[in-house]
Amino acid sequence: MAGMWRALLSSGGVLGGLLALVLTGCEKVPSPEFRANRVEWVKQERLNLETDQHLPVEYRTQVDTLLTSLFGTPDDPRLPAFYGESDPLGAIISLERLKQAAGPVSSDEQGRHLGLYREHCAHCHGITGDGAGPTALALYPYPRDFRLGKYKFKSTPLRRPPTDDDLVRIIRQGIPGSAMPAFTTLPEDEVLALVDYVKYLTIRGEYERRLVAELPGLEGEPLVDLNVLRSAQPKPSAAEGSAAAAASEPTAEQTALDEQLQTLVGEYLYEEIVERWSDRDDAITEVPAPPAELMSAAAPPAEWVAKGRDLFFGKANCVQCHGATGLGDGQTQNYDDWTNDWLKTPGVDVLSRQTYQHFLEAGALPPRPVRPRNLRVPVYRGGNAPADIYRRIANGIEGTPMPSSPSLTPEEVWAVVAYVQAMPYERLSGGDAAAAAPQAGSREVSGK
Amino acid sequence: MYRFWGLLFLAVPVVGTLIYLLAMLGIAPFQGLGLPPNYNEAGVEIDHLYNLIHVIMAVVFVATGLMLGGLIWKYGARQELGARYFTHSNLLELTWSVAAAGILVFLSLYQLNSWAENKLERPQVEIAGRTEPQPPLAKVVAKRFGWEFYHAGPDGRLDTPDDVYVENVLRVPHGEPVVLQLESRDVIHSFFVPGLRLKQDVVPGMQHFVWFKATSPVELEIICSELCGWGHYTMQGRMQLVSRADYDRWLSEQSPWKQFAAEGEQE
Repeated sequence: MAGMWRALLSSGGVLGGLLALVLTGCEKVPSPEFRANRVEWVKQERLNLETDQHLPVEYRTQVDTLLTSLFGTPDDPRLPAFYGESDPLGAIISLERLKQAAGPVSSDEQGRHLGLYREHCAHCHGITGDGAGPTALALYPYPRDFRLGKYKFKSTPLRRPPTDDDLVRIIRQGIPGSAMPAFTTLPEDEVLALVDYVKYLTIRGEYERRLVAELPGLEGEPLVDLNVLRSAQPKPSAAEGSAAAAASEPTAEQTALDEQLQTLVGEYLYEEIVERWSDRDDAITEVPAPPAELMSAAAPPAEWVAKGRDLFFGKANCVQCHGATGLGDGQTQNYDDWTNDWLKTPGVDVLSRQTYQHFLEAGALPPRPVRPRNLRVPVYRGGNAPADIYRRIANGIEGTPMPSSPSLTPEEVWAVVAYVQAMPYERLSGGDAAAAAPQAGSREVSGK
Repeated sequence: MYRFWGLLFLAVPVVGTLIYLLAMLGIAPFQGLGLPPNYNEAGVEIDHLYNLIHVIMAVVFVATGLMLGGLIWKYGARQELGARYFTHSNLLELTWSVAAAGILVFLSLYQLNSWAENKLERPQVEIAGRTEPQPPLAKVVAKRFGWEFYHAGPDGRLDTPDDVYVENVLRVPHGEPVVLQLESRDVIHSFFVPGLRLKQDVVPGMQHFVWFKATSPVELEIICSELCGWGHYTMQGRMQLVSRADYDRWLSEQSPWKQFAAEGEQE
């Protein structure tokens, strides 16, 4: 009998030990932090300083403190609210949704999923949104680095941020032909929370780059006086607090801080970055109605396909990159903007790894040329509806060598769309390609 | 003490069988552990095979469990016996090899017909006076990480410009045999519709065909059951079973130009 109790006790001890290990093991994982944009640092140093010179290390703490006081941490995101209630950033990003997407993966009492970004996005796009998550090196193309503020597939023209609908669509439908999955089954509120978190990471990343770009010009002067900044911190919003204090008794210190913040936050963040994000819906490129012949036929009519082919080889010059066969084998030695951002720094030669080793060490991903799309396969990253292809041709694709085509009339763009739609079904060899292109469907229509 | 361990091992087959029965009968809290409802005509046969294998396993499981528990109970307390070791017994080896082989041979012969019906003999149809394999209703392209569906358009053929492309939601008619063509864009995936008892690996570079006859207008889950990368879990699709009339109406409305047609009507 005593033996039985001993056995029970000892097995209980083992179980208890395991349980304790599991519980404390979870606690010991440090919460992740935003990674500083070291690539931008190295770039600014190489652009502005002598080869062996570096920016003072004190700047790291200053940039970090400023970013944290304005945007918080991955577990506790914050919005600056520089202009209080009517803050333009608050109109772009909802803090409530932000908090649903941020933090560790969990759920609350109502069963609402939290930590969505880390559950679905962070393994590729990274905690910081730098596109350098653990899986990044295995993927082509690399996961998007949000910090440049550039998006490829959107309804707005080049150099304008995407609309919320564009971002919702990318999350819902994924990007065919890339590793971006389609999150079809996520509930609406979770997708919207992720959209806000992506905008948050983007604006934070753009602002960090803006601050770092400012550093070489300071010539050793501090970016911000941290002591003053910290003394203004206990209030939820630095600006509100200092504004209230200034009303009662403006000390010289507070006036200096106000001026500093006006430049650092008001100008660099709000005027240069947030404003770009404010009126996106007005910038949407309207797609003009297509010619009636295109819409009524099951397959693109031959005359439109022929017209599009002429433009492909001529005026629109698609042939230069997509190749004479449309297989994407034309100009293939271009890089996208995310690589060019540092690859174009003087002294960097893509053929010689030593010249950019310091960028790789700072966190840049090895450069890989961007592949022009193979148009013989009907897979379209930005969507395969005619309106999607129209926008890709008319507006170009941000961050890639694919240019916008302001010289084409809407009718000409539709002709190129017709050719692009016909290409996957066109015969490459064995007689007249134009005659082979329209198939059963279009013959039926022309027969009527 | 040894009797305690005997009882513990004896509890394994008893509790296991109890939970299995409760699960198959749908009694709480084990109601979700059984099979999901079946909506495929051929699925009845597959469920039968599934249950048969479970019965065979249950017999072996309960027999070995009872034997283990019973022997511990009977001999465990008699410590004076000590342990007796032997390294080989031809009779034992032969018995369990032949028994297991017999079960496997029986199963493989027993399921030959359902294998042929579900994997080899694609439904036949009359096309222009000749009997041919039924053409696929849609092409399913598996990719990391999602499903692309290309429905044969009004011309009834795949890989033509009138194909209708949809992502992650597959509409198919119920009450008639449906053939799907499966392809992969990158790595091995597996097209799995538990509600239809349908599972087929999708190997890059190959064309696979699956067929089924769904019985009711329900919405089913499509999942990938071959680990294909970190986003494997997002490869969830929906299969909406609709009536033939609804399917035809839906297909005719799927012009890629519908966005502009709608604008035209408004004006």
